[in-house]
Amino acid sequence: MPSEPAIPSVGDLFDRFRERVYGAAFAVTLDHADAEDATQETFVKVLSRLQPDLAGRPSGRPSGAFEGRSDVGTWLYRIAVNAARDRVRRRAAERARIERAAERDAPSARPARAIVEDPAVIAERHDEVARLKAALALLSADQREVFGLREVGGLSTAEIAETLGVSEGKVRVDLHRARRKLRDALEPDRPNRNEGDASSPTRPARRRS
Amino acid sequence: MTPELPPLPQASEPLACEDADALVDGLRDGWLEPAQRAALEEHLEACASCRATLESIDRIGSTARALGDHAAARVDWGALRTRIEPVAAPAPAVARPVASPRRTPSWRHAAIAAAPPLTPGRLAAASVALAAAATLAGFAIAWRVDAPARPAAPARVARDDASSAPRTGPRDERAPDRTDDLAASHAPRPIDPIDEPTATPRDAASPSATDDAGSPTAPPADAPTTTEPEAPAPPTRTAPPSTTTDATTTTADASPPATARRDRLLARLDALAAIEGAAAARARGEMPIPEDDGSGSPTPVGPAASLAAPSFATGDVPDLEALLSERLPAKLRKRVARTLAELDGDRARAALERVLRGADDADARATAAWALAVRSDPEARDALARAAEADPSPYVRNAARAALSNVPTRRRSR
Repeated sequence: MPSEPAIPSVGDLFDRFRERVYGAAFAVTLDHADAEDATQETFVKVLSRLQPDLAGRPSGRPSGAFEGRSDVGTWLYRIAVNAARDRVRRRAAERARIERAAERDAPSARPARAIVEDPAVIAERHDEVARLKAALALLSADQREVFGLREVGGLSTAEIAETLGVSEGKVRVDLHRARRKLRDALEPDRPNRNEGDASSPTRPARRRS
Repeated sequence: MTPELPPLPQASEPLACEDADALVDGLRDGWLEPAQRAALEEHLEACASCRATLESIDRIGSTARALGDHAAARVDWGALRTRIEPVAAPAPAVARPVASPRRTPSWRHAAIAAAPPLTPGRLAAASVALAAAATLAGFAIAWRVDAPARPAAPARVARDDASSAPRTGPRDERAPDRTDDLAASHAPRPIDPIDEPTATPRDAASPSATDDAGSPTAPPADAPTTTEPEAPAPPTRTAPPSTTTDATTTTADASPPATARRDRLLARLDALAAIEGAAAARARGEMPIPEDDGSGSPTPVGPAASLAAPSFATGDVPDLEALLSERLPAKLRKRVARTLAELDGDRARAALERVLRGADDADARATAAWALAVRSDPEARDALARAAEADPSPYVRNAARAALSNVPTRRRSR
């Protein structure tokens, strides 16, 4: 929807966009807790920008405030994606730190404690969802984000482009590649297309590189 | 616009598979021009391979959707809304889960119970940490008893402080976990650094390493609003806790590391036990009221005095089952489990095994299994194997099985 004429309240925005903001955050983090944190952070930021007085800030035109320039949704998604990326980075750093600490602390260390798995994860190991989650690790960060925002977050390609600040063309290409990689990973025994499929009409001339 | 995707085909021209393959995504994402759409549909009629591609990406898309929906179903929107905007909180749009109101107040009374162990000096080394916890929670109580009905973000922050004085790390301040979230929320990162005693200085520094996004739920840095309901606290009262916390860290670090660490863990357990004791007292309808004797630490009265008893440090093992069961908020429960997981020695292991074997609450048993896995003690294999085989709950069996795979056999192969 186009820009909002009046400044919406955070409560309204929350009720309208909470699932999609969470979806966008989850698309990036693939972790419930991180996505929830990022969702909270998103709306807290929104609050401080929409209602600076409420947030105890000097009123006026705070930087980064929503001024109805862009779609309010993509504005929210962008904040959510940044918050989520932040978490992904932090999580990676945390992991590295733990590994370093473990090496330092105990040469005869117990076998990696971090490998203890969530029973729920184990239970769904053979589940399609779990397989998809594993396959997502094969994608590049860009591809994963775009795929997640589209399929998990339910954003349109145009919204994703605006959210990420890239062209819609790039979004489509990343999405295309992400899906093909996932398909190859998830359905390895699928007959390779364009090979010996007699029923597929082919056009001899146009060959792009 | 789409530099690496094929050019628009002429309407009359039949589509090749390679072009159709690129357009299939457009069908799912809704960006096809009418001519492209018509050509693609014509192609799909004839081409089984491209139809299969479309089915594949549809299937993968719905699986991804399911992944997201599954995660989103775990969000407590009501609690989240409350944390985000105190002003918007009363809006009835989202129902709060039944569990939250019960949990929120439990920490407030913790201090009443946590305080007693200080005075007799019973926990000599541990008392510093405990004092910090008690003081923090005590102050919290002192100015909160008159407004007990307010649920909100600040409660989380304070509760956190009350339960573990020595840490000031930024993580894990998220929504109170629902019960079914327990395993999912603690298992994937069993050694969340917040609970590593060494984490304090490091974590204290870490927020500056990132941008203003700061800590996940420590909005104060970025949005004072979430903490606003705490504003009524007299400044003189909010100040001491932080100083105490600092003192704790310093004192503890000054001791020989191993002892200090052990003492901190014990103190934390005692504080947690006290919290649970206070919660139990509340559940029985006894509402201990703190009395400010002017010394800064609330004096326990009534039932609170009797809650001072359990102490892991003195061998008087608190009721672990209660500590690990659903009555304690998931976050505190996790902390208990982590503490036990880190605490060396047979006693902690035996206690966990007892819980794993005999607790009525499946969550408690699963948590115990998890803690035993983290301890990685071969002595625990028997108990885990038994649980993996015979526990009535599949959830616990799974947890025990996972734990077994992390526990080396008795003759250490490494």
